[in-house]
Amino acid sequence: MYQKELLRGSTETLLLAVVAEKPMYGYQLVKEIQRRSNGYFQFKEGTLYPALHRLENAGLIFGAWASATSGQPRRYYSITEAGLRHLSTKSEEWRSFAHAVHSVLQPATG
Amino acid sequence: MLDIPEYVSFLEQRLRIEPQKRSEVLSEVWSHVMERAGELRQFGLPPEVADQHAIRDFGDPKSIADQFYAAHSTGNATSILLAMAPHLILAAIFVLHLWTDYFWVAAALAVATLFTVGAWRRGLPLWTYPWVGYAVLLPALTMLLAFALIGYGLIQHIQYRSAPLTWWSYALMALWIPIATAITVMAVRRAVRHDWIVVSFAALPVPFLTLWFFALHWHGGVLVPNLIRTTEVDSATSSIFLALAVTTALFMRVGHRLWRVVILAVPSPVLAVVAFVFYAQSVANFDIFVAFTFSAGFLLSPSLFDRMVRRAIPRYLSRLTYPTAPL
Repeated sequence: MYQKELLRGSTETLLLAVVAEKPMYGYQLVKEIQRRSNGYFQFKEGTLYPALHRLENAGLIFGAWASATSGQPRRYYSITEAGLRHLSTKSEEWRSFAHAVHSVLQPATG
Repeated sequence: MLDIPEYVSFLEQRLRIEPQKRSEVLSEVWSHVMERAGELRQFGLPPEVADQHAIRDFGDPKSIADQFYAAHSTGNATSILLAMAPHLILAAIFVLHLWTDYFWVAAALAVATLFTVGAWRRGLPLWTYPWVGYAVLLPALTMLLAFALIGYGLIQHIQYRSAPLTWWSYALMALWIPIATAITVMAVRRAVRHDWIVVSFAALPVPFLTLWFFALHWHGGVLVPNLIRTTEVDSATSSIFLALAVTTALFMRVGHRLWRVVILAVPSPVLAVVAFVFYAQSVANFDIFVAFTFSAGFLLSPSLFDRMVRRAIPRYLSRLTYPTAPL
């Protein structure tokens, strides 16, 4: 349950972080996040698309149709300038939060 | 159990977003589920099992449709302002006492029509519906007026062997009726394909405008506007349009569908009743009740057409189940 809540709060930041590197389509994003987290983040795949569309409506990413090598048309998402700024802010917030949690959880020394 | 085409069809029936975006979403979903199923087949799963796995991994279509609705229905500041604009323009026209000046009324209608034509070409995003509402009012009202005038002319002709207008005026009106009906029906059909709620959203000012026309009639009709065009009455009318603009902003901002229905069913009828009481000055409680019920009923009535226009969900789909347990 706790893991689910954490994932819900961080989904959009995770998506931004992944598309910041290169344009990706939905299925590729799911696989990439699973790979990088060693399977820790297991999306209900359908929830990914509403999240992507929310980010697109907010102007943080944009989607464009392109044909894959197989000829299958896919919608590739890329990050925008506003998305990069947002990602930077969120990453900083997350680092501060993680550092604070870690400081509280680790046994007191000295 | 649903197969992949049925699953996508099931989702399509529940997606209440702009038609253009709906087809994009369905293409993405189709492509995703097919790729997942193909990958599972390559791992050696039998085709049916692979398809069921892919569907299960994608998730419950009802929940996904709700999430898409929330993602696509909440307006940003610009779209909210654009949606409020027609009500604000009318508020300005009334507060400046310009509504009897043909130039300003024609200019406002021309702007609404231009916006509607432009919006139609861009797939009618949500913020355009208040504009569409005012633009469609013109053919809808002139169609009703033409019916009334033709009917009145017919009665006069039967009784006195003469009609108040020339024959070619009646011919033009008879020609206009099917054109105006076609424009109105086309606009309503296009909107209902998006979502019945947006038809009600476009029709938000209609209950108030209907009562306003009645009020004009009580005060001698539109041709003797000075009876009603006092500073006090025009300021009150202007306030009603401002309140409609606020209601529009709330509607655009709230992403949850149920709250949108509440916003449609309550504030606009309340405003119509307030205007009714103000214009008529002394009205019975029963009349207020009738005015409120009529207004709320009118605004919720497009839900009745929803199933008629939208392709009905095939019975076999509603009987099929979506796999939730591990396979």
